[in-house]
Amino acid sequence: MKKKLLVSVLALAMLVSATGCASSTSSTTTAAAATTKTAEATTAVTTKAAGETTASVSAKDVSIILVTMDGLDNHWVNVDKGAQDAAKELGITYQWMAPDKKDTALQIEMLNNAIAAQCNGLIVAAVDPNAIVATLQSAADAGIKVVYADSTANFDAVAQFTTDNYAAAKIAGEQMLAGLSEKGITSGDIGIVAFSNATQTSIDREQGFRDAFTGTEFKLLETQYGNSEVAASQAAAENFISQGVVGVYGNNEPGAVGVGNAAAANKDWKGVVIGFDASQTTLDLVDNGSLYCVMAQNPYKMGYGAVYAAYNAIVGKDIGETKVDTGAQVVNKANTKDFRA
Amino acid sequence: MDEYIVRMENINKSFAGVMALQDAKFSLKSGEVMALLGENGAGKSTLMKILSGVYSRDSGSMSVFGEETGDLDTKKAQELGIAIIHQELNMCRHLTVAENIFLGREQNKGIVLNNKEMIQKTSDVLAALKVDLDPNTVVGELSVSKQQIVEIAKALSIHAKILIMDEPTSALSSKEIDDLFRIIGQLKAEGCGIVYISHRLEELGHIADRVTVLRDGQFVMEGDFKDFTMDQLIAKMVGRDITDKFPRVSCKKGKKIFEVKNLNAGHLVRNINLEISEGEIVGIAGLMGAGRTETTRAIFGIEPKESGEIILNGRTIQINKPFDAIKAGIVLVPEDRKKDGLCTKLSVSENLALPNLDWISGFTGKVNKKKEKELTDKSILNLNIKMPGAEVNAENLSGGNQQKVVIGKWLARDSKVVIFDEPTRGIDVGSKVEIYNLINTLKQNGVGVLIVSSELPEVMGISDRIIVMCDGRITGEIMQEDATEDKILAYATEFETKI
Amino acid sequence: MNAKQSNWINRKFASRGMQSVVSATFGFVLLFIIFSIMSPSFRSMNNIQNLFRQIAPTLIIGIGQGYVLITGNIDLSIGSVVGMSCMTAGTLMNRGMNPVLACLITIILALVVGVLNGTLVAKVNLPSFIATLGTMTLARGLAQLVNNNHNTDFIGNTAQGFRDLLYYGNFLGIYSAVWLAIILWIFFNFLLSKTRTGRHIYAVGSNLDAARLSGVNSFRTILLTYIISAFCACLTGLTLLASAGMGTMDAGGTYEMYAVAACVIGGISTLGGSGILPGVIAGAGIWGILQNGLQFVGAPVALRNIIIGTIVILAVVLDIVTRTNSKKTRRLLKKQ
Repeated sequence: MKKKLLVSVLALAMLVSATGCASSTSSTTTAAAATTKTAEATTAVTTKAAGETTASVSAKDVSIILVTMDGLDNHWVNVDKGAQDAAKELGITYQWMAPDKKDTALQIEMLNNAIAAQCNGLIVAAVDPNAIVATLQSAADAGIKVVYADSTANFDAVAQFTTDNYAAAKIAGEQMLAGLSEKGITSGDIGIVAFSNATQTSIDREQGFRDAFTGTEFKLLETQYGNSEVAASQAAAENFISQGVVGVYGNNEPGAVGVGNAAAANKDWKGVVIGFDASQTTLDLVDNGSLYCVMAQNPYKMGYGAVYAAYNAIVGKDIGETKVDTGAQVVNKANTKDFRA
Repeated sequence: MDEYIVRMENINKSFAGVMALQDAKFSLKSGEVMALLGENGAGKSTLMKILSGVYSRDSGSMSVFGEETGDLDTKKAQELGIAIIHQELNMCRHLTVAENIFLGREQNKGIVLNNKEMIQKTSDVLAALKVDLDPNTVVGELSVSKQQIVEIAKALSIHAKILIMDEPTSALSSKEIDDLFRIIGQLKAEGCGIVYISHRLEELGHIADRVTVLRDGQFVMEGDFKDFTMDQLIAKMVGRDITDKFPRVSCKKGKKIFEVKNLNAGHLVRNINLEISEGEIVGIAGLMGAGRTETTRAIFGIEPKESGEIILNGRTIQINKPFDAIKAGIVLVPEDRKKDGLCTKLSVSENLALPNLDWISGFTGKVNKKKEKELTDKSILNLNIKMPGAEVNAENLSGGNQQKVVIGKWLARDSKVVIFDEPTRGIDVGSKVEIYNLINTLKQNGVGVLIVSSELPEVMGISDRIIVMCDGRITGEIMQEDATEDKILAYATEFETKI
Repeated sequence: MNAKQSNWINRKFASRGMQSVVSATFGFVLLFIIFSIMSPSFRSMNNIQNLFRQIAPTLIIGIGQGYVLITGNIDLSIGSVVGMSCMTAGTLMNRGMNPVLACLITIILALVVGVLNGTLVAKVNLPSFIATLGTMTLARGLAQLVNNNHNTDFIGNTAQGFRDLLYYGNFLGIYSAVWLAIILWIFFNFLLSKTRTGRHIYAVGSNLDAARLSGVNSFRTILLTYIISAFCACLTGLTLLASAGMGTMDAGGTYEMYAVAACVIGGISTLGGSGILPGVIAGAGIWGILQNGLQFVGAPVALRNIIIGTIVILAVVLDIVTRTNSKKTRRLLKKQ
């Protein structure tokens, strides 16, 4: 009897700590403080939020929460960095919440946590464009200002700070064509290692790339999914190379690392490999020639701009540009040093 | 040197406040067989578990081979030469015979297992028992009786000088029992001391030198076996006189209620024809491997049959699985109650309720707790089931009480035919009588009763009519008045002559 | 083939657990043939070498999970220990530590997790599902903590030798990761099938009480299985690190389930007491060849999971059917 009790208590404790770990991965320790502060502040802010705007809301009373797709990918870490700096400049309370892995249900949980914490602004990178719409609606109903960072959903938000993934991907495609023509290759198969078949970002990044190849002699094979894991992306790329493709494209950071490693392991293969996202590893892979180039986003700018936009919306100031393309740049051997942290 | 190799005095042991042994006493001489008698719960197992290191005593003194011993553990007890063969078979079912026998003391050649040697030694031990068993057989595939033989072989292989046997013969055929007794004689001559716990009082006469009786955790008496009659011993065990070991009720034989025609299910069930009438108990006797259990399983629908008709009250019924049999009102109390008769991890009331859920649940399938409690209380009262607590797990009951639960769950259903396979195996004298009374009540209520039993006295004592099987066929039928052991054995050994 | 040789082969096939291995191996060969026919690039030397290198990590963790499963327990923390090891070694190598030392420290850390698992299950007597669920979360947390919630940088700068050895390394046409898996398998198979310790592992899984009463130290036995499991998980984490060239915090996610799949396909029952290690090779092989081959034959990704799941179920059903049939035939033969 006692053992059963011990076991259930332990299991409960683990469950609680697991959700705790998952929900607050930010390096700020304001978690407890934030909830109490926002509880107090909400009464002040929400009474004014209904239509009224007043500049007399103190910055200290404003709280913004960022919910990304997961807490592990470098990309989100950079979004958070930008957001943190903006929050510091503005003197507001800020918190980053993200689950352990990209999962629609988990993200909805995180969003609900944020709503329950009664934040004033919610910045979100949508895992799925439709699944979280209802949750965002309830956020808006509660008077929370919603801003997108990196990935949007089918819900009207206050502003969005995203990479125009389609455009960036098209450029990536064009880069691959350029690289292939440098090597004198005009036809053959191309392999795509995408990270998701549901996230809008991944869909856009695939579509843009594919469209760059219309009218060419190249055949784009069935997309393989790497699920944002280096190992799985790498295996898929290795298999593509064995199948005799002339180019491989990985459309996010783990994908880029995977396809780059696969290329490096096949020294005899004469193809072109392109990735997405600049991280220390992908930059190294560009430098050593494994990756032809990567498309670098500007996650820092996403976070930074999103916080400012949310803040302005909360206090009633003019937001300025609501659909901001934070841009993507081609990073190759020539300019890797500019992107190193 | 003291001829006493074990002396236990003033032994006290309690479990969670319940006194299992109080001031118990026990002694064993080398070269003798000491019978240890007592009802279920008398403390025999507990006392022996203390001797063999499974439990440690609360107080009292114990000396083995003249040396005072402190608290023993199983390994130390083994080293002292004490081996126990448990009533509840303790084998690793996935391992082979040889692997089980050498478990915990595997022999190595360097760092590698010396399988050849262990298999050879196992063959030797099995040969000494005159048992035809391949050391490489996986124990899980053996029958209960063969598994017991392996347990005995295991104890013998560690050259134990003190051998404790807890109900060793309950699943052995008479031929195997003879072999065992022969070996026990061998061991006695070599100076071993053997503690023999058994409820089969008749056979003790062949083997026991002295006897110790325990009752309710206390020492009652000790003496030479030949100085006591069976009835005297039973009286000491139970604390009262039991006049009738096999109570009989006479009933008028009524109409035929159950018939089996041309049943065929493999080599051991060939062209079986039998019938049961109201007010009559039919017993099935035979040697091990005669096909009696297989026949009951074929009737009940556990094993698929090749052909056969089952007729209940004049109507033919299709039985392809136990569900069909139960629905028709034919139930089976199986041979291996812990494996096939009970869900040991469920409580007593859950077990009783299990095949009765159809009538104690409501329309939506929700179990009616009140009905379940009524069922449980009634069963416990009627069958006199004794248990440590109300919602205790079935595995914690004594053998006799477990068997009562198995029977109880069917009785609650108003069954028409009840088939018993070894109904009193491993059960003490007092509980046996209770079960016989139960069976007689069924007979009086017009329920058809079929009993398979390896204990000839039981079959002859309880049945009205005895069918004998040999090697899958029915070889004879005797009325109770005319039955003798010799006649039954003659039929039971009527093997087909190979042309 | 003379009588003695054919007798030996018969005995080997009839020996315990071999049936499942044979059916799983048959399945592997069948898939190999099918994929080879459907796709010439599948059977290219390049891909064959890759295939085995892709199978190696599953095989290694399958060994560890197999040991635990045979005792009737489970290890859910394997995936997290993979990630934790990947991150720990990667972070240390980033800081310039000698790769050998980094690996040693990582192994020690993993062994600590193994000891924790074994103690919780065998001494504190927690059900293994719950105990290892806890360490699973713990180890994953450590994976995030060790580099302050960042993936590591590229280890190629400071530890290229490590990558050269474990990822690029190729001896006699077989990648070093595969050699590592083979060597580990040979050692652990020997331990399990030919030594006293191995026998005790089967006994504990078959009947814990009977084993204890026969003098088997069940605590030591179970503890050992968890230590071995953590060790294997750690080595897989290191191979992942070498292969990716960086440590990722999500490395190894759900790997414990792949390990269970490899074991079950190979005939190791989750109920304990049965199954042999050659089965894990076949199981890991089938798992790996499906992931690899389906890409080559152009199977639509949506269908992939369905195909893999169906084949896994078929493998287990085939195993159970052949097992039941052989038991029935043996019983029948004995009775005659």
